[in-house]
Amino acid sequence: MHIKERILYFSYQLASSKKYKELKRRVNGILNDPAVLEKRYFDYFMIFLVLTTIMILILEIKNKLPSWVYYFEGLAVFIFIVEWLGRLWVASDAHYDIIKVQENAEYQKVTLTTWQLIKPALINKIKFIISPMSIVDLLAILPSYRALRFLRFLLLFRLFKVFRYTENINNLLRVFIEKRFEFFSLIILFAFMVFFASTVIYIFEGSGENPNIHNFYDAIYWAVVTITTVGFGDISPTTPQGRFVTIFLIIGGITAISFMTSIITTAMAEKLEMIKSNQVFYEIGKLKSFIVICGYGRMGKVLAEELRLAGEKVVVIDPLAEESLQAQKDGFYALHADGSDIDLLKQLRLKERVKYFVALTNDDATNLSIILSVKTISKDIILFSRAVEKNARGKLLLAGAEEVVFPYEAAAIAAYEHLGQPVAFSAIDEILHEYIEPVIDEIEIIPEMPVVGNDLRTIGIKKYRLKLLGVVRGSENNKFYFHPRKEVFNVKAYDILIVIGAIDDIAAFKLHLYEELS
Amino acid sequence: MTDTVIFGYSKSAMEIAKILKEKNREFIILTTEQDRTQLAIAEGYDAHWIKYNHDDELVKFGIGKWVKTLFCVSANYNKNLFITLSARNLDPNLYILSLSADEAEEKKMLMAGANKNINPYTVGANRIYRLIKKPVVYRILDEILYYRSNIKIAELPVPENSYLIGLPLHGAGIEADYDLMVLGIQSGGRHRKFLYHTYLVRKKIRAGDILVVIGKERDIEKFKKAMEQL
Repeated sequence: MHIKERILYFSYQLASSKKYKELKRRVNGILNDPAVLEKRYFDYFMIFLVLTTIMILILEIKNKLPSWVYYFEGLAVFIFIVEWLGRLWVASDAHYDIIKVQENAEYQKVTLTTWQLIKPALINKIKFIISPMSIVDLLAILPSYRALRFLRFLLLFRLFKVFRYTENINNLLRVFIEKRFEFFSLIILFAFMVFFASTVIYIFEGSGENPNIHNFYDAIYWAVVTITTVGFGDISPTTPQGRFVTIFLIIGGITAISFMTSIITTAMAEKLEMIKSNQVFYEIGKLKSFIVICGYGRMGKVLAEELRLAGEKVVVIDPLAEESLQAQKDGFYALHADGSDIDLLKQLRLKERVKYFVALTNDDATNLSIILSVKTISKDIILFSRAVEKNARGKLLLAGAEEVVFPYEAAAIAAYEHLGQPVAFSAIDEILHEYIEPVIDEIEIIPEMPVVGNDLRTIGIKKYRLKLLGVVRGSENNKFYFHPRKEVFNVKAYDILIVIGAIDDIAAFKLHLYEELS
Repeated sequence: MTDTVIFGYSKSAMEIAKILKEKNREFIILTTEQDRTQLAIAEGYDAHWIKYNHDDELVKFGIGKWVKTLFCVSANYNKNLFITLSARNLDPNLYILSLSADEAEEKKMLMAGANKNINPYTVGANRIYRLIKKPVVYRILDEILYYRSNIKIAELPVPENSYLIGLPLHGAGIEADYDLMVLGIQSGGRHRKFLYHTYLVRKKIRAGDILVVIGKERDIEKFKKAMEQL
């Protein structure tokens, strides 16, 4: 009873400790979460350890190594042990398992023995211990124990540990698991052919006709060497019957092998794409903020290009392989995926990193679904969309889009304006671009700036060779004051100055406003 | 005798028709498909069915005579191209505007004689770009350009004998005297280059130049009159 209460007390204590939780989360991140940057460094370090200890294993076969090498190996093994214990620790939450059992028991009003209490927690831990990756870890550690030195070759298992740290190879190897049905049937076929051929050759040549075939094991060895088209030639059939079998074995072998190759290559090609997108994911993981464009059609392409010219980081998501590939070729972070996939959006950590999200697929229903998905993740993300049919606009706005563009309407307006005032229209059109000088820009006045309260004419607009189009007064419900020049116009906090000028001049003016701040 | 013709009754044609109607401009719609013609008529427009490969039908509706503007915006790109070429042939001074979404199409359209091609997707993408990067500026300019605000943008050709001729753009005092903002000037003649009115511009105003100004409607009117009087 005494032990049981202690366990319970301890479990509750852990469950209530924020520090413990945070520590565990961090350790788990370093060990298991590819999005964590430290994991990469940790992985490199572990790969280094694995390779050096294997080097030692190879070198010591013929050389006498200095003793510090073994200290180093000892240290490496120690780190392996710590790592494995860490994995054991984060694999499951034992204290939660215990608490769950206890609470269930309380609910059903039964008293538990200590064993019953810790059983589920223990089972979860054991599940981890006997998982393939854990076994690889253990095999890499155990043979260093000198009593088990005869198992030294098992140290090579450390090489398998490398896979643990290289997600990409891991993915490729997963091919064998995913295609296990095909492989299984092929292996059965192989086994059958090998068994058949080796039996036949053994019957015809096993009783002294062939000096190289002494037993059935030799026959099997010969069959495998032949069927795989390796054909060492150390054992070759001597009787006509044996040669006859060989002919069929070779033909069957080539067929089966080409079949296997094709399975592996197609499966790997599929995987390669996944590996590529993993790489993109990793790159995106490093960005601090970006804009997402869903749909890389004509509109998406133009927008992405313009945003890039303005220095924004753009992530393109497109469900069509062709278009996402094009986006990738054009140099954007491209994901071949469904933009309305909430899991994907969560993985991209939209909430912390994305302010603008643009849904530009050529299907209104898809755009709607994307908008709703993004809104579920965060209400703060500003969404823009396009309407393919004009009457979809209302629904897209209802779903939460900030503004919905109907390209034909925008073009019609542009066409009309072009008709009336072509010069004025292109002039305005051009200053709105950020890469053709001069540009038009907005400068927000924050309360701490010393220019607040000063007359507009004295704050240096002219000195920085800018022209003022007007002021949007944030404190008066964004009222627009056009070109105030005659009367005294004092700058207020939350004003937005709209200025036209060279990019450098605008930047210098902004700097000037901020400099006075400090 | 309406001087504006819309060829086609596609999605974009519908939008153009709507705007022209809003702005009280008269226009007719010509289509090569009966059902489209019916649709346009049903929506209250003056629409006619034509055969696109008959020039005399175009002439019948005034192309080559009184029509000044043609929107070539049917859903069939090849027909647009054909009509553009025919219309350009009939009238070298006609203003032809087309909408096409593709760079290659755009080039062909301009070669066939269109004055300006507008790409709906580029315009749409631009719009979103501006909403993201410069929402405040965009809202203001949008109001000035498209909506009924008291601030307007206007382009004013400088008439012969205007008092402005010979004055440098900077020293002309337009901004101070009329409470306008001069956005820039497009020089007349062969070099139709638009110069923004920044502090770097050293240009004397000449007859035939086009001034682009922003300001209150009555100030613009006042300036326009002053420019013409002297």
